[in-house]
Amino acid sequence: MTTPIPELVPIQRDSDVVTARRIGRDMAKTIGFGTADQTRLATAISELTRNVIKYAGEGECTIFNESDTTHNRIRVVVEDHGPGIPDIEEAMEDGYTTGGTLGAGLPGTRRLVSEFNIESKPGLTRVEIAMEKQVW
Amino acid sequence: MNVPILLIGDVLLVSIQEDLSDDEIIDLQDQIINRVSASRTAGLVIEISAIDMVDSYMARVLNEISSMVSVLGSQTVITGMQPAVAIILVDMGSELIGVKTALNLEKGLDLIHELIEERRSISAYVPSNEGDEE
Amino acid sequence: MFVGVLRYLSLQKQAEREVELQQRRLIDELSTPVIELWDHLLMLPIIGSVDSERANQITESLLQAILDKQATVAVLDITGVPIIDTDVATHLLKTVRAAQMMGAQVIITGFSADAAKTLTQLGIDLSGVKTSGALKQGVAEALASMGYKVSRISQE
Repeated sequence: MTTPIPELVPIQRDSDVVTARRIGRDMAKTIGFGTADQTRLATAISELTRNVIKYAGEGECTIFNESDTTHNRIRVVVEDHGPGIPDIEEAMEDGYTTGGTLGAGLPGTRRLVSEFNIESKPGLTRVEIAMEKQVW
Repeated sequence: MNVPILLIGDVLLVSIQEDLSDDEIIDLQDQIINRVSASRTAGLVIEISAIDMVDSYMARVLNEISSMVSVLGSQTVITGMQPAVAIILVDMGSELIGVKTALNLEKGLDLIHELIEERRSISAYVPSNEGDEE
Repeated sequence: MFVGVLRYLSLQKQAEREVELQQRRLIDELSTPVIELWDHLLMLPIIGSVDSERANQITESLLQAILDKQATVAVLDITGVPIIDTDVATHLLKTVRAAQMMGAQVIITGFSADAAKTLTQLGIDLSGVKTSGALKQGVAEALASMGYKVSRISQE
């Protein structure tokens, strides 16, 4: 079985955010994820790629199909070479209360996926997420 | 981008049927506010049953539209939110706050008319076609 | 010889997995039934403990049913949930919020005295949702909000 080719989406303008999430959703659908998970992934990609435009101007989104016979798995890496996040811990603080704050930011996005890894320093910000479901 | 915006009586109906980019969403917000301000709009209904994804940005703009419209003296109802969208907004913590929602367009129109009536009941203003009967 | 043994094991694993899958489906169906109590009125009797995975299932079933049946009110009965703590309350509130965002009203019934004490002492804010102890009260309020009245036809 050949390894699926990852999808690379350059993120340079507003419309690329739409493209990236559409490709993510399509791949999730092809793999066999349910509608709710497809939407979760699309939403997460939307949030992360938007951050790239907002804070770095441009970057890249790469989507990997890493499924095997027992697991549906999709991994996404969103990377930019912008100024970086000054305080990652603060950015990842979960300010969510049932009172409801708007704007998901990173903590909200993390709640949508199975895995979430972030590294950031001036010149490089890299967020890696994965969605995985066991196929019984 | 082609988002139908129709004025039906005194209700402005906006039907979002496609995946919009951030710029398009802001553009839509401007269009809506301008039209609410310019016409005899007592209520705004935003139909989103065709949208399969609402992220935090769109949620924020929907909230903003509702607030802006409220400042102009009108009510807003959002209709047709899909289950997956509702779940995800709550999961993310981006849920709509203080924005009225309805299951479908029919119920949405009922609700907006109820809200408009409620608002009118505390107003001395009577639309001219009713007042003339005195 | 060695290869033959491995193949047998994987076939067996597959059979086991299928049985597991069937069992899981059955358990899921049994544990989160959605009952159409009346036109556009749903009821969910929640039985057993509620962890985040189960809460997700409940939410998905509820919201799908709200869509399918175009339900305007849903009554969630938690009489059968043994422990109501902060986590369970948070899960339930999220379910309620999601249903409300779709435009449905949710009433949670079946709170025990202990649950009422615990949740209040924990400072959980239940002001956004109608609650009651008895299922009866919740159903009566649901029907009333939909414009129904229940009255006895003849004197017994």
